[in-house]
Formats: sequence, C-alpha cells, structure tokens
Amino acid sequence: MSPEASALIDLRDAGKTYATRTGDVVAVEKATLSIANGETVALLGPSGCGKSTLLMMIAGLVAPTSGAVVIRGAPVTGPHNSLGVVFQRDLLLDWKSVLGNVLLPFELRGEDPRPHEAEARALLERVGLAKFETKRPFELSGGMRQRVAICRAWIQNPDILLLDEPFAALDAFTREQMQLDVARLSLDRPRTTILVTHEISEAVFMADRVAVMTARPSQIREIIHIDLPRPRNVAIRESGAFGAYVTGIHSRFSSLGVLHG
Amino acid sequence: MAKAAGSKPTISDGARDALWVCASAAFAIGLWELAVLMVKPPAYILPAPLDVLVRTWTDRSLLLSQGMATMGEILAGLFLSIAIGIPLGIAIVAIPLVQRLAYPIVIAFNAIPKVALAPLFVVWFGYGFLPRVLITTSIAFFPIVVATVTGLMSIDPDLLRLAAVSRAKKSRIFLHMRLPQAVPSITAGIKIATSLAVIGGIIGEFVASDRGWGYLLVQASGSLDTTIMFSIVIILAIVASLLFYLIALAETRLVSWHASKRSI
Repeated sequence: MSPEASALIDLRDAGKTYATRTGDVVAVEKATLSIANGETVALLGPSGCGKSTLLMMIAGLVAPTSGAVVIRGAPVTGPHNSLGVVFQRDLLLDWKSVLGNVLLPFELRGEDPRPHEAEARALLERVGLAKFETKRPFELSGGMRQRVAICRAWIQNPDILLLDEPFAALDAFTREQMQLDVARLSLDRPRTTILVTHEISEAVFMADRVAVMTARPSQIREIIHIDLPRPRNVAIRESGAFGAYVTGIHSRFSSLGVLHG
Repeated sequence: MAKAAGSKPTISDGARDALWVCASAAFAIGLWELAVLMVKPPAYILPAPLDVLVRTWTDRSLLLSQGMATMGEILAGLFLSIAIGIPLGIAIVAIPLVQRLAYPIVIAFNAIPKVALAPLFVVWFGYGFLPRVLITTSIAFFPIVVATVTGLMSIDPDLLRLAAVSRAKKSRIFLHMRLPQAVPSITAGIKIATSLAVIGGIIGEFVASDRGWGYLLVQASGSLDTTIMFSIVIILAIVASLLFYLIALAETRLVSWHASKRSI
C-alpha cells in the first residue's frame, strides 16, 4: 500500500489556472501533498504563492483545473461534511449575538441549534469569552471576534480544520495568544489541520510539517518536518530548536529568491 | 436570543437634536418675516408668517377634516408600497423567472412619469379613495423594490463562502444572511418612499378628488388665496418630516447592530 492510500487528504498534481483576457494565469502549479489523519500542515509562503487557492481547493470552494484533491479516497467536488474553516476575516453576523454566531452553522443547515448551546458556551469559556455570549460582535475587539469565529468552526466538531491566515489581521501579541489558544483547543482531539500563513514562526509553532511555497512559479518547493514536542506552549517558542527552525526556513526563502538584498 | 446591548443615544442627545430642529425652523421663519418686512409684497404674493399662522388656526377644522382624507391616502399608499415592494423585491432576487419577467416591467413602469397615469386611473376607478391611493402607491413603491433588490444582492461573497463550507441551505442563507443584512437598505428605501407618498397623495388629489389638502390647494389657487396655500404647504412639510422621523425611529430599533446606528 502506498503512503498516499493512508492519507486523509491527498493532493494529486492539483493545479489551478484562471483564463483571463490577457492569457492564462497560474494560481497553483501542480501540487502534490499527502496529509495524514490528525496531522497539522502549514502552507507557508509570500502572497501570490497560491497557498490560499490550494486551501480553497481542499475546502471544495475552488475546483482544480488539473489533477485532483482527494479526501478519504473520494475526489472533492464540494465542501466536505466534516469541515471547519476559519477565514482571515471573522465574518461574524452583526445582527446575531456571540452565541448565535457560534451556532450559525446549524442554523444555516436548518438544524435545531439548541442541543448545541451548552457545547457552544463551553467553547466560548475555553477561549475566555464566557461572559460575552449575549454581546453583539461590534462590542468585541478584533481578537475576541476572531475567537468567536474559531468557536464557530470548532462547534461542528470537524475532522478537518482549514485555517486561512486566521491571525493575520491581529496585532503581534494577540496573534501569539491565539496560536496558543488554538494549540490548546486541539489538545482534546488531534484534528487534521491545514494552516495557511505568511509568517514563518507561526508555521513552525503550529505545524508538524511546513510546506514552503514560492510565487512565480506558484508551487510547493519543499516540505520541512517540525520535530518539536506537543503540546506546543510558550516554552517551545523560547527554545533553541524553535529558533533554529525559523532561521532555517528563513534562509531557505532567501535561497529560493523570495528574499533578497 | 439575547437582547441587544447596543449603546443607545441618550435623552440629552435627543433633546439637543430637537432643539436644533426648532432653531432651524425659527431661522427659516425669521428669513421669511424679514423678506415680508423689507419687500412688503401683497398678501396674494407672499403672506406674512403670522397671517399664515392665524389663518391656519381659524380654518383648523377645515384643514383637519380635509387632512384626514390626504393622510389616509398617504398612509394607505405607503402601506401598500411596503406590502407590495418588499415581497416583490424578495421574489425578484429569489426566483430567477420573476427576475427575468418582472424586473424589466418594474423598471419600465418606473420610467413612466406617474402623473401621466393619474387621468388613466380616473377613467378606470373614478374619483374615489382607491384611485388616489393607487397613484400614491405607483409613485412610492419603486424605491422600496429597488432598495430590497439591491440590499439582498449586495452580500459579502466571503459570507457566501462561509455558508458554502457550512453546507448551508439556500433558504437558510436567505433568512440568516441576506435578509438581515438587507434591512438597512430596505429602511432607506422606505424613507425615500415616505417623501414620495406625500407627493403622490397631493398629485392624486390634484387630478382625482373633491377633497383633501391637494384639492384645497387647487381651489385656493383659483381664488388667489395664497395664505391658505402657505398653511397647507407648511403642514405638508411638517407631516412629511414627522413620517420620515417615525420611519427613522423604527429603523433605529430594527437595526441597532448597523454601523450607522451606533453612537460611540
């Protein structure tokens, strides 16, 4: 049996080309990557490297123009039924309370959200928003809003989590705290997680493997195993091994021509 | 669902706003009085503010009884516009067939100067209450349809992606995303419709009536009774403003979550 067969998510030469009036634009060159059950993979690269397009192909929101994305042996044709997605923008509905926003996925599917209320409250408590469930989103800070969005993705207890630069809009301290929060949330059950980011330290901190991507051509250039202990905590960030990974990936980008000067 | 905990404008804010409205009215009346004092025009050209006020008081029962007819038309026309406009807007967005068939008709209909329809309505429905309400509705309903359509269509594409990965039902996206986010747009359309309904009511009475403020205006014009015309015009301005503020008040209650309604 090939290693791909045991993978939960399998990118097989998955590529995306957009036809425009001035010719074809390649968003993602053929990407091949197998992601095992429970693994966290970071797609790391500068803007234009196709990392978000790749994630949207896994989410079933963008169809590949070449190759295939396969989840549990079946080609992806639309959003998978065990998917939690956190976007860069929190996308909270201003007309719903914090609790209502966390329960939104059930409402959208036409399911009764009430059986999940206790669970939603527990999640909000775990991210430090216990007293905020009746507040409206506009009463919260950016970091608190994104925490609500994370709870909204987690409430469905998904097997697969897709995080599309979820912390990019936050300040440095909030971002680091959120990375710790997500690491903590993943403790109860390891979930297959794909994180899109342009921040090297975030990729190293969160991931088991980091896919180093470049723009022009938009492709995965290298996959780096991050052999740091779990659970990931503040101490790991301050360790020498962590710094070595960050420096190593940084110099890899330099040698790939992403950074120069 | 929890109650909104949004910050509301305080009473002192409201009092200050009201004070400014009064100040602005006083300023306008002052200018008018000044013009009368300096130019000394005959009363059938420009009556003095005080004369208009006195006349309004003497003829109060006439103005009131005729006003009931006009107000009835305005309110019925506005109600009908909302009752037709919002469902029609929803249908245009939700049902492709309705969009293809009905939307061009709605747009073509709006291009007609509605005053031109008034004589036709008289032929069809006579001189009663109904044709006047229909004229009012024909003028007022269009902005509500357009505002509803625009509000429902202008949804953040990222919200639709969120809905897609949640495997949302189309009807549920409508109920939980499209409709609530369209509310500010719809209430803006109703505000425009309110002013148009007042115009519609008066036009209806110009062509198809034996009562109402519009009818009084036509009569007064024939006898050069400018003072009563000023009374009516001022009353109309007050009525239209009050209706507008009433809708704005309802809007504030309805969309407390909207950015434009927050006082921070």
